[in-house]
Amino acid sequence: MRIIRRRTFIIILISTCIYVFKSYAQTAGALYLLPENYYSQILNPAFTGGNDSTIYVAIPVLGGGTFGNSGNFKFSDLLRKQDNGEMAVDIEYFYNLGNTKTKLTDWSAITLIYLRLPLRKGKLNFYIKDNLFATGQFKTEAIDFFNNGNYQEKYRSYNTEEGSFNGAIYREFAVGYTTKLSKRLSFGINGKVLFGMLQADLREWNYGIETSDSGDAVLLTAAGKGNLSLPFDLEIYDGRIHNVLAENIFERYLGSYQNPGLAFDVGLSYVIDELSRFALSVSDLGGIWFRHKAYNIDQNSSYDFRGFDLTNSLDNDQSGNFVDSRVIISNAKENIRNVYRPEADTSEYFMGLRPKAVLNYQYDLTDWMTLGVTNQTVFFHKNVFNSFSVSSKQKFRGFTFFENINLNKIHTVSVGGGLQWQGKFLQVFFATDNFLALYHPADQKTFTMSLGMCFLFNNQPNGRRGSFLEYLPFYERKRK
Amino acid sequence: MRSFYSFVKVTFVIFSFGFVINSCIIDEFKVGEIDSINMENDWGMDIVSPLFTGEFEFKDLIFDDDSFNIEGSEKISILKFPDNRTLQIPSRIVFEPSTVIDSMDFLIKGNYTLHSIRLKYEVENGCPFPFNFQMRFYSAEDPTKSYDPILPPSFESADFAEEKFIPVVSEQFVNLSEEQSRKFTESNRIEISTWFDQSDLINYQDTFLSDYPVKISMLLFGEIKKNANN
Repeated sequence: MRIIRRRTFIIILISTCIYVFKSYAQTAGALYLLPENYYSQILNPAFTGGNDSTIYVAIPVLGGGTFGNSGNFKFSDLLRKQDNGEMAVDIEYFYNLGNTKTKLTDWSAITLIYLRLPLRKGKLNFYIKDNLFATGQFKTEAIDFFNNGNYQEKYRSYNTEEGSFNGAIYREFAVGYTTKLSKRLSFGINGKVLFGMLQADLREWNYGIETSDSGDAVLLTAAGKGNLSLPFDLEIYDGRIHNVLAENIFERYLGSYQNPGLAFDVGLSYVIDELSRFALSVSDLGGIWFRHKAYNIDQNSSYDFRGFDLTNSLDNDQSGNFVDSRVIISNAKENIRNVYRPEADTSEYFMGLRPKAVLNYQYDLTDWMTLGVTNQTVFFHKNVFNSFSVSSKQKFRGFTFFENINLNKIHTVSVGGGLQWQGKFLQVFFATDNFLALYHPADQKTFTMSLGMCFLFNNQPNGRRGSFLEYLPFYERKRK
Repeated sequence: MRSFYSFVKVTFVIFSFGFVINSCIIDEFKVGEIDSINMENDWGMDIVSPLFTGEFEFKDLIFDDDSFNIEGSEKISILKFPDNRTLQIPSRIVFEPSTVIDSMDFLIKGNYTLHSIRLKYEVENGCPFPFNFQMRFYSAEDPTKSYDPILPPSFESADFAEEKFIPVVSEQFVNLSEEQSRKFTESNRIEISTWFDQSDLINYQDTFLSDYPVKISMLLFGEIKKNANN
């Protein structure tokens, strides 16, 4: 009876995660079935993995990373091949898809360095990782204007409302320790020093166009607020941003260490019995203090364009109020531009990361096959984004094949998987949550891809097949 | 032998990964090409926008400069100013084109072109003669080279009632040729000329107020398309 109740509870919990929360693609769930994988060890610092003596070393470029894309449209809905074979933005097609709101989330994590060393009864972890995340959404009415213009009476007024963008690029230097607290329980923690390179948080952004019935007046409006920090200089005149001087982008990217932050990750791994294990991790608890070239930005401008007024611009004007026509046109153009130039005030502010909680359960079906379920939840502003996956892995000599079925809400189901190969000196892996994205990523609304390579030192040769069980109940009973 | 097998395995794995990675990028477009992606060729949006407005007086629209010669016995008209000052002018200059703006910088260039332009003129004419308003674009490369003028039919003259002229509002539309539409975004200078049509009134009235009002409003209707050169 207790088992039935427990299962009912689990089913209700999973259903809630799938139905209620929003979603975007997360790391392929099957990676959480690979505690020996160096990338999984970053995802959950409690994963001890490998032999006690193994040293993991990943270096820039080969260290790999993850790229994730999730939206309610495909890139191929917007960028379409033309008759002449060239790719072009097809606004009409995109608009006719009928989405009322356009949403897109992209993120990536690039492992620059990963190092794991045995230290006393545990393992010392160190890694450097560059992270990017960006989430944007806007009402499709914004595209409506570019598709229909403002000529027809039914298209005279537009209001984008609710437009928002939130994104950041930051680097993290992590030092952590993984140890076994008991025969069943492993614990890991990573402390991270962060350096924010770029951040933008634009909220309630609203562009509007209102055309009078006769067409003799067009009211342009722009409103919104937010924060902005760039490693570049801004050209600011009269308090408004006129231009971004994006020079030496790569050098500035590498040298941006003026916005510090702190965060930590914790993980637990518990051996339930000889066949099943449970793992929990909470990562990215912390934030970044943006204080260098950081601005509060505010936009609340409008301009009622009623044509270029030539009243005082005739060449023979003798009223004393003569204004050169080029000044009239130049002023009108400047007034229109100013509508879209936000005001910027230097500022300092705190940006919280997007904390992520992962629950993982795995069950060894046979010596070579394991099944698992993984639930990944990201907390961002007041939203909860959830991704649930059912996975399996099969081991064959040095190879590990894995598959996962992912549910990003109930209507977005994808099938992914990948493989890992581990030799004495090398570990290589590739994982995706959407196989179709391998061939045509632009034709998929949601997918993630992870890959990387890690060198192994002092790794014991694989002397036997199957996995080593950390929990040995036979010997435990013997001791009793 | 063992190291040979290891070599084969490593080579196989690297080739496998190479194949997978290559599969990932055999898409219809490459990320590196995004800079060169344009709007689709057929893209266009129909817009309406005010273009020019102005409130003028009769005297503003008949002079192109202050100097004029009265030749011999030609017909004279008298302009009466609000301060009761008067000025004798040859009647002909009312009916001859006056270049009221010789060179207006009209830089509305962008990565787009305008097509199927239709101009709507709304003129409230308080002058006793039908009014004409002409725009002429000049070449950006050769300042002396001009293109076909854009000239709508004349706008109605004011009504005479109760011993004064009552302004009359009239509308005119001009559909530009594709060549004229192209000049809208290619040219960088406009010349504006105005004049009035002659009527019998000139034969039996010799004094006219200098401040008969003329209000002009121009709207542009057209289709914005991407610039084929961008």
